[in-house]
Amino acid sequence: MNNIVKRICFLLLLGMSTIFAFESQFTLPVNFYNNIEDPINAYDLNNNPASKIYEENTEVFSINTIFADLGYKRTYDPLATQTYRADFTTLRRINERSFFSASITYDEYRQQDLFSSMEKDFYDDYFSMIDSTLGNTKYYGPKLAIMYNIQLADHLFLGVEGNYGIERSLKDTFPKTITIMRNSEYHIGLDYRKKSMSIGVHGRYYDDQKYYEAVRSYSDVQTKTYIGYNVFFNEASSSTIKKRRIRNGLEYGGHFRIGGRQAFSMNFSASGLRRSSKADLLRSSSTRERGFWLREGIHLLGSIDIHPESSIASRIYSEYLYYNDWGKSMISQTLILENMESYFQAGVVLAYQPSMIQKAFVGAEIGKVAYDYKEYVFPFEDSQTGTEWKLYAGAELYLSSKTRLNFNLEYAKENPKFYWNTDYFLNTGLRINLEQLFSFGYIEVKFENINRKPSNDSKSISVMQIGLSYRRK
Amino acid sequence: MKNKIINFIILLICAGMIVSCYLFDVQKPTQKDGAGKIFLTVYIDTVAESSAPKPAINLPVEIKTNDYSFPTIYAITDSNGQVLIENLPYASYTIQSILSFTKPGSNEKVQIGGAAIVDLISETPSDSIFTTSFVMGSQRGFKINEVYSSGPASSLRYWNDLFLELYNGSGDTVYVDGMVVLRLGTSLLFSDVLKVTYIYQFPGTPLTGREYPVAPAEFVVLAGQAFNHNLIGPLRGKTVDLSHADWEFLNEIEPGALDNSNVPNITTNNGQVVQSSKVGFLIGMSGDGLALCDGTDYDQTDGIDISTVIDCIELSASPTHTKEVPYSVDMSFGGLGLVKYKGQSVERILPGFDTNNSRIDFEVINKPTPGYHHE
Repeated sequence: MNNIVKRICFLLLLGMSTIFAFESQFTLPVNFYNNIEDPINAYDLNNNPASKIYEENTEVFSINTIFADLGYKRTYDPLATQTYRADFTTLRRINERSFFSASITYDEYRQQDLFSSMEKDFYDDYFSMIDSTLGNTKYYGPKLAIMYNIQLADHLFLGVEGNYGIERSLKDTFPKTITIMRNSEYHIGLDYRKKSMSIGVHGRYYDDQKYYEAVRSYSDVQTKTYIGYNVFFNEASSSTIKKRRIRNGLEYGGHFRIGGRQAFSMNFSASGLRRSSKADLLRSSSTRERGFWLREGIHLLGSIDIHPESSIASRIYSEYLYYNDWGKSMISQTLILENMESYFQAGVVLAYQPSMIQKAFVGAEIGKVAYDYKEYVFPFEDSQTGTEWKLYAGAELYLSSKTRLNFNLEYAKENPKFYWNTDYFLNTGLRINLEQLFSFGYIEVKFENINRKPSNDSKSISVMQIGLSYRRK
Repeated sequence: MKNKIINFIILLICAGMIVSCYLFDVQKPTQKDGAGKIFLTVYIDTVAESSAPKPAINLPVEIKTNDYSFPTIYAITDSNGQVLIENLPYASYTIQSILSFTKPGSNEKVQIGGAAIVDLISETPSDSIFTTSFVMGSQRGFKINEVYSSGPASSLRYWNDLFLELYNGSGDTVYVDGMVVLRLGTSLLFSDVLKVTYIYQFPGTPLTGREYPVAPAEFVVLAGQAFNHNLIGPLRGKTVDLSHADWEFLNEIEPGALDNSNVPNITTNNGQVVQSSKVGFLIGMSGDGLALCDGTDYDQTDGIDISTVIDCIELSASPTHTKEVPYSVDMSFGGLGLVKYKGQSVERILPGFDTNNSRIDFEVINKPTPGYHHE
């Protein structure tokens, strides 16, 4: 069992370094069954760095490629994207009371035929900028993440985590838009942990700064700053346009667990979140403020794990995320938008493990989403609620004593926001992991394919990921 | 010792949490955008019939802004010549109306226009209404009607196809003899002289000369270089044919200056008007100050007397441009939003229409129109 815990924690750490985008997320995402090796584990629901456990030194090197074909897309999405990623993670026990992990990731993210957007993700901000070009963009840069965990006293653990990344990009259109991004995140937590219970608190702060510069080649750079998603402000054309976006986020959270892994456990965690984002236009000698927006929210997670027999495990889980935004135009000094989003999901997963070499799981979840978005410059309102669901199943098989196969299938309905211009998506996903033990370590091959089909169009979004990793123990 | 360390760490975390609460100490605005209101009254100048302007009844007006991707709003005045326009974003607006009609008792087609500028700002209480008015009329004379200097849409970075267009909007023949065309420098905004960068002069005697007439409603094209610029391969179809321009600028001390012998010249360094620059006539690609003066003051070393100005305009693509031309000859500047190397030009909204406020009088058009007016 101890080995299973180690493996889970290791994979969690590895996943953290590869799943996350360059920018820090508003809330740390939790996917209740994402760990297909062990969908019911006790450590997924808690992002506290003090709660992480690892008892053995490990090194992992992985490379991944992700190809996305956006046959169905929003106006300012690229037609296709390619991601190439290399990651090296090392975990070291310093002594019996503490351990350290470090990971370095290098990403190259290419966007093909990106219409107008000067942003990496136009829809991630209410003050995004566009120019008048169609072109390809390449983002590349390293990211370093470190974590330190120490047992301060009996049952009391302290965890600190930080990451720092720099990313650059160049858009191959005539204004040659250059982007430089810097992201840093600091996370600290305390966990009072016993076998039968744990309670902890944690705090996270992140700081993200982006700088854009577009320089004319032969024609002036004509840029526009969107105020929300439907109306834009015409910037004066000039030979050089510079923009700066600064984001700061803060999260405080706490969790408790009652019960151990053996028979019954109950987990609950809650966090409060706040993030500000500011966009400015830079002239040679002055800064022209364009917009400010603030997002505040709460995130609640709960689960009950029941192990009625050694071969059967089950989890009932629930998640609630609510946040609201308001945006201010720094041009007119008025309120220009308000937004509210809430996501609720509840699910159950059953896992059956008749022997150490076979395991299967099946799960279902249902959720409710609600969006209420209002713009005031040019009146626009979108308010909707919808039901989402997901069915999934997977299995783990040892094909031989040294070869392990995991696979997972999922089928889901997703309600997107208005700018996707469709009522819902039907998503299908397939993931296959094949791991082989060699004398020098483990080699794992991963394959993942996700297809998102909109309700009103024959075109779809297809994402394929192929990964190869080497793990040394 | 160990307990001290633990207490210190916990204290540090608590202090960090308290300090961080002040990181996002921002207030949500109470006033929403899109709540601006303009109350407009429009009059028609009926000087010929009575002493006071009359309300313009059922007159269509256009409200547009260059700030946002906001569609042009159309409204119609009521029986008092008034209209209330609501739900406007806080921005800068041009309100204008152009009325075409046939003069009673004749077949003469007449266009009159009127316009006003409104800067709606949110500092006013949300329920307040901005009140403005304008008078429809035909305030025309001999004017600088069009300025094209922003270059064609090409990677060649070409700007020699520039031209000025004059228009005689008066009812009388005008004689350009001895008139001077000025590219202006930065003048004091309440000055009575214009600072000059370039000065070019028509041949003939100022005021009394009668050799170079311009008939009413006639356009006059003044070319920087009077040839067909479309003959330059990469520019074919993208620029203008100025080989038939009415006049060509020529600096007589410019080495190797091109001179189309079929087009008469407006000259500088010609023994009368003098400038230090040895290059041909140029205008700023994103805007400039330009003046047409009667030529009675042609000594630019101490500035040109503002009383000799026939027409003076200031253009700039940038809304944050610092004004350089005295208010007495142009209240503002036009050409906002002009983009270099896109083949755009700046022309009056109606031929010769002039309110002495270039922001009202001029608009950016997507194609130069030498010798005619845009639709």
